[in-house]
Amino acid sequence: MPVASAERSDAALVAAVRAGDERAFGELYDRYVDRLFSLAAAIVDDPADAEGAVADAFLRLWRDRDHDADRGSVGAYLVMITRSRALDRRRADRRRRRREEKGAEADPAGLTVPLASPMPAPDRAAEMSEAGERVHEVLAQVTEKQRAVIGLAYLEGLTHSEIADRLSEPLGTVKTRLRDGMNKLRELAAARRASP
Amino acid sequence: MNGPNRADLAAAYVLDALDADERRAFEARMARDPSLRAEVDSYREAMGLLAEAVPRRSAPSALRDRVMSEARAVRPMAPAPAPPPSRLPWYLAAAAVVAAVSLGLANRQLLQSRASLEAALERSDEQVAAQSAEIASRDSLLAAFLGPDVRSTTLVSTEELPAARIFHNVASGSVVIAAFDLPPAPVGRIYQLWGIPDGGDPVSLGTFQTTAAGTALLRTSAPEGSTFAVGAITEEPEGGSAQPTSTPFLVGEWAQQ
Repeated sequence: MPVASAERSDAALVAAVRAGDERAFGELYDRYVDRLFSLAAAIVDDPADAEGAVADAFLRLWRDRDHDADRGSVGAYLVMITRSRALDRRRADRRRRRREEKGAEADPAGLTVPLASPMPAPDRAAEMSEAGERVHEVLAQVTEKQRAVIGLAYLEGLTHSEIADRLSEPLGTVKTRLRDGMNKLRELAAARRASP
Repeated sequence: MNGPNRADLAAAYVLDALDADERRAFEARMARDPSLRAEVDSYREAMGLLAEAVPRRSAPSALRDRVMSEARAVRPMAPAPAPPPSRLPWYLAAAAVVAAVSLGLANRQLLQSRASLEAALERSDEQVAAQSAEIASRDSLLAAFLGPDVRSTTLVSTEELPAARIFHNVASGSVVIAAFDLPPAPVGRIYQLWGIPDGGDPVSLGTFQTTAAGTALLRTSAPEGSTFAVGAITEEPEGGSAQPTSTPFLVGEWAQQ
């Protein structure tokens, strides 16, 4: 291994991965795995499910090679797949539990989920990654209600109708909050691309 | 679609927060409107950032070994290892099944397959739109299977249904799958397409799910320049398998140039 090799860009690594370069695949893995695992672990209850979702994302990148650099970064691609697979596992887990609890005639009230936002509040910044602090600053600019809407969609996979039901808010209000919060994050994403 | 409504829908679409009807309508719209797709992509980057706002956890170190070893099983990593010794695996038996099904029928279907898939595309704009997240554009889809270097196969079962047609552009590696009358795989399971080289192990060509109507139309890819003697579809655990774990229910010999 070269003593002082420069860190390769994501784009260079993706190109090498397409050609079947194991070391490039390993580098991409090391670069993104903790971020993806943190996300998956925030969505599912079982760490094994979080590992499965992360493995699915990397294997899809390796196997299908369907990441399109014109449409976004490989980081966003991996996040999208990881989140989607984690939500699938979360839903399957919830269905299984509902079946089990139905079988045991459990108190249906036990199925209700607390109203708190699944998205961390700004005062938990100590738990955030360094890179996450800037995102956190942005999240701090949105209201608790906006954060709740984004969190329910992002980490629990609820549709905006389901969020409106859960929060007892009008659907239009939920849509607006979701959009405003995502717009703030989009501005941050654009600023990062301009000055990485 | 006015400005605020458009942004509402694009932001919600990226988060999978649209209801099913809204989602279908939005995907149909997006297939016709490249600027809407660009808007979606920009929100996708925003979603990528959200992953950094969750409490940080370190992935277990064993996960790395697992991913690398599964990746090696899916396709060889460079430098490519020597091909495994040939065995008499299920796919050779599968080829015999295909011959037994009816060579005449298969040949006729092969001849008709391009024309009928084009016709199906004409009839099913909506279906193509719904799959647009997987398909870069209809033009490139057509180019992928109408090119001069395309090999096709019709996968059949011993029953009349279901059926699937596979088009493989050897030069570009593009693969198009069109499946019909195939009920969606059960929860936690997915369909996986395999290309089997002459004398080699099956190569995964991707996973897919069918619609409630039993159809799928999507594009995936094979290693550039690779050719396959047999195509097959199996049902696998969600996320796909490195090698088939079940007997294929659809098999077909690939037409040679």
